[in-house]
Amino acid sequence: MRNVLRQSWLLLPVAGLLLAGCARPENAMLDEARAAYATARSEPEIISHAPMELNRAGEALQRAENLFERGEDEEQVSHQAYLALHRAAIAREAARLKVSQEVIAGAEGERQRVLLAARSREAEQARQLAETRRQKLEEAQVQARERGEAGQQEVQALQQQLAELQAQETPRGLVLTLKDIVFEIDSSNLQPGAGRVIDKIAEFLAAHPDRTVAIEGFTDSTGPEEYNQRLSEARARSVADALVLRGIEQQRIITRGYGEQYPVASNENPTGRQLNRRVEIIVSNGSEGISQR
Amino acid sequence: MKTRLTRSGTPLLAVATMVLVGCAGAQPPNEQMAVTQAAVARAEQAQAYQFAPVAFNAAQEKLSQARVEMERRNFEAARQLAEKAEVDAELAYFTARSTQSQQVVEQLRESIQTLQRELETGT
Repeated sequence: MRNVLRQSWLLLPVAGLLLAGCARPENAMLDEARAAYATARSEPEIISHAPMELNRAGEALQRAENLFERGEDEEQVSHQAYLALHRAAIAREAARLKVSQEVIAGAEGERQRVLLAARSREAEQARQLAETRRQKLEEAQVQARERGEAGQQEVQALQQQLAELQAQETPRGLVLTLKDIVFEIDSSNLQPGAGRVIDKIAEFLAAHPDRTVAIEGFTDSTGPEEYNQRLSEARARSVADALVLRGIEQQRIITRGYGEQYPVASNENPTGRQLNRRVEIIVSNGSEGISQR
Repeated sequence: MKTRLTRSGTPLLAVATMVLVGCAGAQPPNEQMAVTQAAVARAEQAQAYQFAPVAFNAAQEKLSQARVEMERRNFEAARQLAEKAEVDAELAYFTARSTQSQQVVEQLRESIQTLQRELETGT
């Protein structure tokens, strides 16, 4: 009971203060500053990012409160409250600035990460592209080499065959001359031994499908001209038929008979006449056709 | 001011005189004026006229009013105006900077999004 009484004694001055407080006219600016500071203080972002500014706002508010407590004139209180209110706003903006600066720093890092990812992706793509190109180039080189080798082999094979056939290079193409002895006398029939030579020519033409062939027959000047003409044509056709029999397409072969024309030697002696009795096989250079005599 | 006067032992007459002459006896708030001017200059540098025009204009206006009061030797009024102008200017400065910073954040976010889109589509 006594305790309670003693406590109630203590309560008196408090009550007095409260009364006095109520009696004092309110200050709108101070109320605003109090609210602003209270709000600022409750925001973790401001506490963590603008503690100094928040502190200054608190100090300014305290000064305003002190002036208010002391019953200083309203203008003084309002002035300090104005400062406190603005300091609270400054704390808020300072915190916002710090936060966004952190975001920028983070975002810059994020941007760098994305950029890096993009760059390494681009680099990877570039590397792959380079690799693909390199591979293609290598393949092309290998192919070119193979082609080159094949080409070379072809040339060698051709040269060998030509050597065997005693071919001559002329502007019209490669000219092989089948001598008289491959034919039966006064006949367009090929001697059995001619088969080997015809085989070679057929083989060569089969290996070079782009080339065409002209087969031209010639005779010496003995006997009637007309007969010689027909004989030359028949001998040329006979060789063509032999090639067709060996699988060479008809349309790649042209035959002509020139009879006694274009002698390569004198018709005055047997040796010369023998040279004149012949069939020339002209193989085109590449895919171009063979000009006429 | 009051304490100083009472401590100096000056009688009521002196107090009355001071009141009559207004605040002529107060020291000119030169330091505060300098601080305020610096704050306004800083806000201006942060382009507060563009990003926080209300606070910045308030600061400028109060600073020029403070100068007027300084001319009139109303030092107490000048000090108060200068103090107010200082917090106005500081608020303008921080508002301008945080606003600009926020814009940078937005731009960064957009550029990151664009980058990510580009990465996803592989364009």
